[in-house]
Amino acid sequence: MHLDDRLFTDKKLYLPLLAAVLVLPWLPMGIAGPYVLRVATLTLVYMVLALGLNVVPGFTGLLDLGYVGFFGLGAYTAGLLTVHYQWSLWLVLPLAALNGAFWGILRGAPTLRLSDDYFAIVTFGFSELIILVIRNELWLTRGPMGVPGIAQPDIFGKVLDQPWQAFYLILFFLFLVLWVVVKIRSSRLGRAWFAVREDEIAAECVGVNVASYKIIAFALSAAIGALAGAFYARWFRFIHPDMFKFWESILILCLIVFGGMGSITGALLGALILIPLTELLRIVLPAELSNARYLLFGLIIVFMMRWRPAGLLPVEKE
Amino acid sequence: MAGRKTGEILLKAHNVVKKFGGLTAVKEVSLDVRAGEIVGLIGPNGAGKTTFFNCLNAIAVPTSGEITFAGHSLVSQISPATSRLVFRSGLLFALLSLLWLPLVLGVVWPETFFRLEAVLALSILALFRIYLLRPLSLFRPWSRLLLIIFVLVDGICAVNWLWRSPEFSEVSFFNLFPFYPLLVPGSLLLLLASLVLLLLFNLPRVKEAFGQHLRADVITRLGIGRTFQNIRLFSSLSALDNVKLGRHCRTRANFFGIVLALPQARKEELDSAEKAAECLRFVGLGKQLVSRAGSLPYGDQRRLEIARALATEPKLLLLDEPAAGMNPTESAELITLVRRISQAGIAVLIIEHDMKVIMNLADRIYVLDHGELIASGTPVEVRSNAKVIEAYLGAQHAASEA
Repeated sequence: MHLDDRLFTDKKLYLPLLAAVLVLPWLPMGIAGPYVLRVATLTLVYMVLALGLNVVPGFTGLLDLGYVGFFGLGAYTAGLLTVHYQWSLWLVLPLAALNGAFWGILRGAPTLRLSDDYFAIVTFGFSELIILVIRNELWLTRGPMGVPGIAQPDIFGKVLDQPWQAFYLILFFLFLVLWVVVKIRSSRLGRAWFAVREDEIAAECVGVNVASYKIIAFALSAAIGALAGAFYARWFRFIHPDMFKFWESILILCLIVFGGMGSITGALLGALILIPLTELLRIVLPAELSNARYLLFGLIIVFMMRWRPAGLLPVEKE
Repeated sequence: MAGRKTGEILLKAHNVVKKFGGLTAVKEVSLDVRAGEIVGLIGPNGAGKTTFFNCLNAIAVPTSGEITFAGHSLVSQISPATSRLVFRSGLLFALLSLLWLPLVLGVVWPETFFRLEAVLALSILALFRIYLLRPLSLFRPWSRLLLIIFVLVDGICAVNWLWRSPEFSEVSFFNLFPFYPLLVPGSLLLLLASLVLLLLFNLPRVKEAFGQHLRADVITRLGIGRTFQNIRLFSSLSALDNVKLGRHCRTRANFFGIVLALPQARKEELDSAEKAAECLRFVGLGKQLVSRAGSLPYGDQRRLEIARALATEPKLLLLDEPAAGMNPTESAELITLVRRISQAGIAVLIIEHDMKVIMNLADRIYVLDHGELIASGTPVEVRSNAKVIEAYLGAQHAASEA
């Protein structure tokens, strides 16, 4: 039985994991404490992103090179709504997710008939388009000046200004997203996606409406990306177009390739390993070499492809 | 007919033609399958058998011809070019209507458009909209009705504008709100009401008029299941998941039901697992539930494909060379399997090259050659048909045989 099937059913698996994550903010780490917690929070954000991206290339088999577009879209939706209207996180977040889903569908509808590389190019272009709009529409997004001073997350009118509170908050969202994707994976909907991934014609012949299931996947994936972006904006309190560069799309894609395309636990593990690793390298490497960490990153992927081409926790069992 | 009880006509194909560019793969083939029957479709390689199958379940759209299945017409009687034209003008129409509505409302730029130019622009747009709707009148009377309604509505709006424009000459954007009730002309309400009424009462007729090409997944839901010549399984999924996918068209749990784990969705999931396992046992794969479909032996993959098709609860099963690559023992098993499927009340249309299998199974046989139907009848009749012998063995051989 694959690990993904056991996520919410095997107590031996999830109780220790949950305990480990829950105590993390309270471990005595001295002066490194706040930094570790920051990296942990960031890792959880990337876990959400990896799970969201996984829906499209992992489940429906369409390569998405533009996931950062939805991340940025969510961040800017939430950031701008917060700055202009001071709305609560719990209103802004669903709106950002809905906006993400809307643009996800809009991107998906004309690309339904595209396959493989062509689809990948469109996703790349669309994401660049979103970021270009963000960068240039000064009246809406302040462009390269960024959006500073976004309010921190809140709950029931209380501001969550402690780092551990933000950590628990994103943990909650991670749990939510995890629940959704795990439930779907073993359901009629998830199977329909797998069928589309394996063979579209055979999928049609068992009664799967390929177009509408692709649209659902696009919407869900984009909504999750936007959700992560919305949290990110409220947590980081400042957003800027440079945060959503093409490189980020590749990074998120790397996480799921590393973990195993289509594998939920793989996506989590990929984020768990690679995100802290990049942070660690940032410390270890001398300042002038700090960009060389991407080099190591590339090396890891190359070696992965050589030794475990299907990822750390592949979906297919031989 | 071996005393087999057969029912009314289930599938009727009439003059089906499929062209690929200049090549006619299927030439005016007519065929019918009655409920509970096993019908064979044979012919030399490249005779167009598989293409014909593809036409039956909309993997390929026939160039012309009629296909009816259980009272539903599967193929549009309108040429793809025409329906594309209609679709495009419909799309343009919708887009223009979006432009047109604010004009009618006069809400967006009242100070600009409460003028004579506005009436002109409106009239031009209205005329163009009507022009776009023109292809619709090719179809059925209702579309002419639609046309008349649009002409009326556009006309009323235009007159209304002309009549009222002096009233609004002093109106600016910011003191517009009190005028809203005046700005929404009764004609707009008429338009909306007429559209809603049209949709409500004419939906079946609209569909009929467009004679829609049914999509493959819709046809599966209507009850045509199929297997493929080159096996098309979801090879990285388990055998059980493959067959559960066959249940897809008989289940309806949606996103929210699944995510919220609503009782109905959970029950349906258990149900489909049970039914899928039943189908697998029926074809003799009861022990291979969790094996990966792609790693099953060849013969099992063929049977798994049949199980998947059976899980869709078909009324008619299309089998495309099910015995290809099977040894005599396996094909003997296949014969019993197809018999059992037939006894379960499912009609079977089967393409097969293995003459032993087809002569053994089929109640009637159709023979295709170069896309044309050259013979049909009981196995005995077909076997002794000169044209069939010619197609298979060449003219000379046929002559010496006779």
